[in-house]
Amino acid sequence: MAGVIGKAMDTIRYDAIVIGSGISGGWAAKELCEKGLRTLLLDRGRHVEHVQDYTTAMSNSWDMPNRGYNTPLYRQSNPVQSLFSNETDRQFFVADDEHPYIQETPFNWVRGYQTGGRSLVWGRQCYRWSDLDFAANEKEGVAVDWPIRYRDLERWYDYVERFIGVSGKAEHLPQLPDGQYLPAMELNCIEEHMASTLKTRYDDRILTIARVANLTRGWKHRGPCMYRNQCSRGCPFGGYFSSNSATIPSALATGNLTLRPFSVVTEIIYDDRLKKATGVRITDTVDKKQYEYFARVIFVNASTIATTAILLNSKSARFPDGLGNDSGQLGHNLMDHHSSSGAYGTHEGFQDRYYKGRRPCGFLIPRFQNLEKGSVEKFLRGYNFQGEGKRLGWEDQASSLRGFGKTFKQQLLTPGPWSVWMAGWGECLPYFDNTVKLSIVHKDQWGVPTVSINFSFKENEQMMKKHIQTTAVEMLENAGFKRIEPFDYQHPGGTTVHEMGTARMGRDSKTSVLNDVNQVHAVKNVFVTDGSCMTSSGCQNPSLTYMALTARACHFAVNSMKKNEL
Amino acid sequence: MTRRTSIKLLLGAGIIGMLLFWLYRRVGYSVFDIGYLKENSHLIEELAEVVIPETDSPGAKQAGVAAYIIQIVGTGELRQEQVTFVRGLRQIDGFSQRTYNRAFTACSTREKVSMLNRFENKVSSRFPIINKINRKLFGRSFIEQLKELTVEGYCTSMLGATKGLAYDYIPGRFEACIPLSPGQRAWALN
Repeated sequence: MAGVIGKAMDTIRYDAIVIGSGISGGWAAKELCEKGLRTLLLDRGRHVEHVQDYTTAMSNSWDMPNRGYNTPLYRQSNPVQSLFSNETDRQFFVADDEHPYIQETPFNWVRGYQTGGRSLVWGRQCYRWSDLDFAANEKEGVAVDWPIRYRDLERWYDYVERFIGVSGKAEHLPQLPDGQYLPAMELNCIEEHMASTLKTRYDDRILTIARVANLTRGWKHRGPCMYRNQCSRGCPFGGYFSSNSATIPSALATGNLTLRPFSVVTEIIYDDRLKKATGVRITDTVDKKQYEYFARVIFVNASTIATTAILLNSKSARFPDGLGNDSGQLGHNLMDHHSSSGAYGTHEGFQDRYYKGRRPCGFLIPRFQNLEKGSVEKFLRGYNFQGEGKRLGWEDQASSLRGFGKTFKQQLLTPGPWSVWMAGWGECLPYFDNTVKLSIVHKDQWGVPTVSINFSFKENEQMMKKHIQTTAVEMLENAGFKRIEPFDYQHPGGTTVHEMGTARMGRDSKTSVLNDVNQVHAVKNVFVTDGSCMTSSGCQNPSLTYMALTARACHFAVNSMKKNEL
Repeated sequence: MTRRTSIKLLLGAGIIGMLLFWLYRRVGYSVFDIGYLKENSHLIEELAEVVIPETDSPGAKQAGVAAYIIQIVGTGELRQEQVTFVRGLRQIDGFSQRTYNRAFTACSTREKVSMLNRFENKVSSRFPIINKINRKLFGRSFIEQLKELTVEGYCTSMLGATKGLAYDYIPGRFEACIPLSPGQRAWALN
């Protein structure tokens, strides 16, 4: 057993097992351990220790063989992961050929198999949902209703934000509730200019600084942010929230945590007689042997697609189509935000202004379409804009500068004009035929059936993308930008790395997989609190909501155990 | 097999063979040889220095850009672009011999700049769509590779980042909107 961390390593029986140590699994481990449960936290990848395993964190570009870039050859051999990583942070992403999956339609499945999972490399945006989001399915008759509303989650948002440390600005918007914020980061000159333009020209929208899990002051022995904007390498200053920097150390500090890396969960063991799950079966990726571990409750936090794959692969006489799949909904309704379309422009003003330091976030224009009052669009739901203002640097300028020699060099090394890039992060509706399945034929190196993904954005998303381009261009025009270019990158699903759905929450066991506290309807001691539980996608970056749901479900699980109901 | 079909087959094979040989000569699809790059490191160095010359700050030569170019072209690029690059080195030297009667490296700065300008004008169309298609079908041209790799190699080198540009290793704080100081260089990391 390679690299097991914690006291209870020889045991096979625990109070709780958590599958996956990413952003939601880390929270489950922390909450369960702090409530006194002896917890086994499993991760399929290697262990990454906070700070000491951030091997590239302090590297200068010239310290790295390829200066931080992906070479064309590397991109060819890692076509998916190389879109999201490079020489500075690829140690936190899988190698494509080692972890194959089937793309029935193009879908970028981004993965980080290690302690902390993708919490090491996430975008750190933290936005609350509101009842505009939770009530939308019911109001429009789409899919099924969320079994919860904002009031159910509000105190859990408070709870997790207070621990994470989120910097941001309260804006008093009903569609984007305010949270517990550390001091906000500042907008730069061009962003301030955009913000004041929106204020004077529109009464339905604002521009605000992103709300991010980057610390503007020291917080719980972490941070503050050093404004290097190299978060995805792992932060030696603990400047942003990750499982590695925050939840796992807290869980370990209780003495109740056992962390077992190199552990691929192949299935959850269900006992037909007891009518509950008794444990998990894993393959140790180092000694290639199978092991079984047992516990009273199991939290599945392997990430949306992987969680559903585990459930689908957990077959028994009672659940021939996958654990908890009485509804036939398991593996369906896969969602991802689209963030392909927007606009870009440069501005001739503010030539005598610059900035110092690299702010690790951009700005947000919260959703302003299809609200309670205001514009009513042809599409359902809506989008927010996320973007960034900056002066063009050498990387941006090089391709448009002709010629060679002194003048070229002079232009290249001088700050270019101000620019704003912004794209719409848009809601994706839950469609039954956007699916995750297990291959009948192909297996991975652990003998586990390969995941097969079929996903497409549909008419509602396409209409929204056009609208995004139009409104982005209009706002840039109103703010006096020149050379404005709308764009639509037409990225396939998965590219926003906000996979959601496939094991949705709902009120009715006939049409959903999980109940209002993230329990599998028919297997009450199995909880699923990662992105797979989502009933709709909102347009907010979803991690904060996973964390709040996880803390809430842990609270419920431990209370139920105390009452001997689990 | 009849005699006639055999003759046809032989003839066919011969024609295909000739075509392949012609293509091979034309595209230069020999086994890629990193040795050739190393042998020509002086030429690469001179070319990079034309793109980014020494001024009041170091140039590409001093910043060691040639080594970066040889490393990336030699070990990181796809065959097609490698071949294009090597062929470009031969072409520019050939052009220099024909035009100025001497090797590229022996030419004056003005002559060198004028040759690179000529190469750049030749490959880039007024129509962006044509450039895009060219790039998609044939990869980057020699001159595009040279320019991009020189810029990358220079701006990410220690000398380029710290002397040519402004380098802020650990900023520590963020100042959102400050006056641009005279002669301010762009941030190496923006």
